[in-house]
Amino acid sequence: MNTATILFGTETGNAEMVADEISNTLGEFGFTGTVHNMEEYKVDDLRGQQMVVVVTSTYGEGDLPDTAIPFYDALVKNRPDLSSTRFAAFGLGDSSYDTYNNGITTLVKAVADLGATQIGETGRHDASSGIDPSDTATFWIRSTF
Amino acid sequence: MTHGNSFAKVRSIVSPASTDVSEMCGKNSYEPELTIAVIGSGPSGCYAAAFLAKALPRSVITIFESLPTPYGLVRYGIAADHQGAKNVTRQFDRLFTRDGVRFAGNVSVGEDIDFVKLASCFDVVVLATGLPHDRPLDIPQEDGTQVIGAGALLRAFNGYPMEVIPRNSDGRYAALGRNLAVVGMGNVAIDVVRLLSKDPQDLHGSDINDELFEQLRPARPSNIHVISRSTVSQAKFDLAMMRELLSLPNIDVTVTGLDDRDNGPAADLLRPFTETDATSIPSMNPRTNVRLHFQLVPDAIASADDHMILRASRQSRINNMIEIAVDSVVTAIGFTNGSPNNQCCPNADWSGANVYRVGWLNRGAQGAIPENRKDARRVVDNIVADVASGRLSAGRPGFAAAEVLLGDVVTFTDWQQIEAFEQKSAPPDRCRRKVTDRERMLRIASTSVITDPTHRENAIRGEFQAELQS
Repeated sequence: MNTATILFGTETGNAEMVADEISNTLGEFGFTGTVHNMEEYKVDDLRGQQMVVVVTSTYGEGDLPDTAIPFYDALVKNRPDLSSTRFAAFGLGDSSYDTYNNGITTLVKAVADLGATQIGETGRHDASSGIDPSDTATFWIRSTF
Repeated sequence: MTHGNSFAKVRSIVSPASTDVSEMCGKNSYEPELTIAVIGSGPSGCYAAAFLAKALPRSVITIFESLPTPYGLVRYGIAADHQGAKNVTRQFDRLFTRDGVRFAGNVSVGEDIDFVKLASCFDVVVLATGLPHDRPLDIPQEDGTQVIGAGALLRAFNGYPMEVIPRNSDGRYAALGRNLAVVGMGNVAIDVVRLLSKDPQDLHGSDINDELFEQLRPARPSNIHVISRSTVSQAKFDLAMMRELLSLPNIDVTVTGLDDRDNGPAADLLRPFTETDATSIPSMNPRTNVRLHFQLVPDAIASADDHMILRASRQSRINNMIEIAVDSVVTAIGFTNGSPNNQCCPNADWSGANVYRVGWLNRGAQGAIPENRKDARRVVDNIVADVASGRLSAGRPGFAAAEVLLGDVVTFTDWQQIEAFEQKSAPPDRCRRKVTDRERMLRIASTSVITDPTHRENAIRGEFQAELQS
């Protein structure tokens, strides 16, 4: 089985729930997922990872959540070579604000800058849609993988 | 509703442990089967239960709630038009449907069961009762003046099942009026101003209590004065909240009390709205003038013929009193635990070596969901450390021992029945119509124990007919 590393940044826990759901659903595609809080993940461990899924919400003025900022800063500073890594990205946001899903956009750019290849489109959940974010994420996984 | 113990503990750990607390626990060779009671099913209680379930997967957790419905401030505090922010209930639902946490609703600790008695049944007790009352505005208020707490108003708009705003003798709510003052300028104040400035059609997708909204606010107000003691730079609102307010189509915003010295993003955002002679001319169209006053301190509320006078003074200047004629004053200056005589509010007796406090009750009415989630995490880290050190040990019987002392307990399945009913009876453009009567909630909940489908369908139909007639 292939392994996938699922990393989440969260403020309310919704992105963590989605990361768990993504890990489950990836099982359908032959992946064994491990879920990590970005807060506790060492950026250098990304080297050599074949499949990474990043999941994050947006907080404040379109910023990354507190738990994702150190991870992002370390990515930019340590610049691990991710040229052999494929990644997928899913964001949680609320379209009532003009900063809708800025967080995941910031992160996708940083990961792609390090040479990683994105699979599919960035998934986006809109909190004001009334849809369960896990359902959106499951649908996105099935249409991306 | 049930007294029987049909509870099956099913907790699936979906993914490998990834949080500090779980790792700490993973290092323990032995994890005791703790019985844990969380008092209060608001966000802090649910987050505490979630972290506990992850960190101590062998523990047996019950969340007690005084209402038949879970989620506290998420259901009754977060504004009815901010459904996105209420999305956290999706993860809380999983606590009960997947992670084996028990919901024990309709149990008012302190009233239905003595706290000490309840606490003696559990190895660990986590108090998460929040701060349920509006902090009163401590200035002279003449008799006959209408002052309403923002928390009470938001609850009422959110369909709270108990009377939080007094009704007239005819059972209707008195309209707030055309000229309003909101004291305070944090996010709760902005919620109030935004809701009062919206027309019913702007509330699509919400679950606002339309009937009450129409009585309290039959038309958009002409003027809403929002009063902040502090400078714009110190004001507590989030920029995103203010930007959302500024973007409303039916309001004209003017700002007073801004100094040249004020700087920062909030000052930058609001400076273009600074009051000038041109903007102070009252508009003739049916728009709502929202006036944001900074550095203005309320002094007294007096009653006049058919309205009220809010007297306030400019902090920066001497002898600069102003009088604002209003029909109602809404206070949004924080929350408290309420009267010490209220037996359901945790007092000094609600303590002990195995009792922890979380969220607003622990840290004061500051911060929204994310900050209180972090607090829940800290408290759970402490509990886990106390388990690891042997300070906390297992052995108390848990819910089964408490249950025999309780009346009708609303289970999570019962609540799902209420929720399904609310969603089915939603008017057009609304996501649900909340049941606002506690007894009706209990009747709808009790239909979930009717096993005969036809009988159950009839019972639900009866409730729908009552809904139509109400």
